[in-house]
Amino acid sequence: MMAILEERLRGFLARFGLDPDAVVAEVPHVFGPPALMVATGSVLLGFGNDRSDVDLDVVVEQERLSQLPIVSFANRARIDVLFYTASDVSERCAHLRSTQWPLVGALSRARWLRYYRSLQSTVRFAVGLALNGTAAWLEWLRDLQASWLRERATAWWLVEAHRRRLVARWLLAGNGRLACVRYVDAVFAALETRAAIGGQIFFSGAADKWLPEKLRTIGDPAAQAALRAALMQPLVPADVREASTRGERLMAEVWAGLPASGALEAQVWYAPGVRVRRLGRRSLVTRWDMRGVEMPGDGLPATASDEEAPVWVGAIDEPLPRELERLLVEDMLWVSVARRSPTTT
Amino acid sequence: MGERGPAVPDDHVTEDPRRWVAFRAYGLSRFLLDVQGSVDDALGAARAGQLAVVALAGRRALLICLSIRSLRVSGELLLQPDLLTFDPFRGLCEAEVAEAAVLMDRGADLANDAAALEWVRQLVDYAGRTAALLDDQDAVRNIRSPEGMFPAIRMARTWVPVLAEMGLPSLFPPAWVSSSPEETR
Repeated sequence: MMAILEERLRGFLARFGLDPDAVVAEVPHVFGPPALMVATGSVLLGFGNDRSDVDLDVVVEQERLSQLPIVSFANRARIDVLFYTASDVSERCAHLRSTQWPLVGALSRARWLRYYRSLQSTVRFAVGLALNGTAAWLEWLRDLQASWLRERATAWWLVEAHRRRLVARWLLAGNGRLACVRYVDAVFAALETRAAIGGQIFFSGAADKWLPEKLRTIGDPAAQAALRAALMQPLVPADVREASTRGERLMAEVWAGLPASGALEAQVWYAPGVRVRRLGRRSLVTRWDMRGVEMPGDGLPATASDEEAPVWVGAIDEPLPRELERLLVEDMLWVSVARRSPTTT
Repeated sequence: MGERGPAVPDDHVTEDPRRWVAFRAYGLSRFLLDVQGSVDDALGAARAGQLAVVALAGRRALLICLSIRSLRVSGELLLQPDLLTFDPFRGLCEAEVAEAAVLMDRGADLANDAAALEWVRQLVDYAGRTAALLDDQDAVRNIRSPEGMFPAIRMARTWVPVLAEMGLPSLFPPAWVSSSPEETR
């Protein structure tokens, strides 16, 4: 496998008169000597084209640094260098290893993002080619080839497909056009699950763009046909209900044969920037104080008082209470999907 | 936003400065960091005959262009992959949505490489007209070129302090600012 990755990297660099040693030389040592340097991204996956760049993910023994990519243009080849602290990389990997997905318990946006970013960055290392590194870090990299990381990626996409379909269903009555976009996104996530099972676990920076190439690589013609059907969904369907039925049917087809995710629950949280103010017997819900919804009643939970508790929890097939549906349609809520606790009745 | 005269040429009256700042700052950021990359991805895929990748990259570019246009009216500021109720159409008139929809639908059904290249040309044109609305020369500079970081640096210098002063969220991906995985922006 390493030989294939090296061949792809060399083939890409040769077009610019470069080789891997020249790429290594492009990495600045402003943060100290690298503990691990991995070439990753679409070129290494075999998907790259003439607008592709090479991503270099570099681990350094620093306490804290910005992850602003440092870009170099050696011989017009674009090389994006991304630095990580050794402690962050280790912590993210340990977090992934120790955390089953879907999570049991309160899944706030902060927790969701922590897991998502852990998975995204760890996978980038896993699918790449080590250009150099210490013995301990090369051993760490070898461990990522084991099945546990593929299982984590598969489970993540499966739950994400549920989450996207749930939001599509809840939006349908109040914002059918957006619901149809989310149905398509849900099909993409279900297809990513199939790609991950086939070993294609890379997360691209721009969501989903390499999905067709992943499905082609794993040789899944049914999934490729489903992707084409999802893409053919008009952005503005003439009949939203009919489009949603098509979306549900496509999801069922793509999901056939995928592992079960267990009993799931939906959790609803306030979106970032949302604030609830009491106005006598009414409430004003605003986002960034730029948009607002005035709601009858004073039953909505206060914001920021307890970020560890969702606004609402229900079974994944349960309808959203009416006042929350209103806030969802106005983009004031954030939704997570977790494993239903065995103690939940 | 409305304009009133008589006044100095090129001046601009806004009844809602927070909205105006949101459009200019977030619009520029989305164009430089998201639209340019996706259009470039579509171009590379078209040259390589990866027609479904063209459709997906083009879909992303068009949805983000719509969201930039929506920022003028009532669009949401934060655009991130986890925010599923984010509505790129928010506040847009039907004609404005329809133009992008027609282009997107055509992109999903490209017959061959030549059709893909022609479609990407139309995508580049649409994206260019979206950039022009921002009235900012930096929007048309290629951030993926050797000179590309300068518009981003200017964007940070111009808009980051204004957004902070107005209590609006930061422009940049959290990982660019902090290595902490706990950051939630």
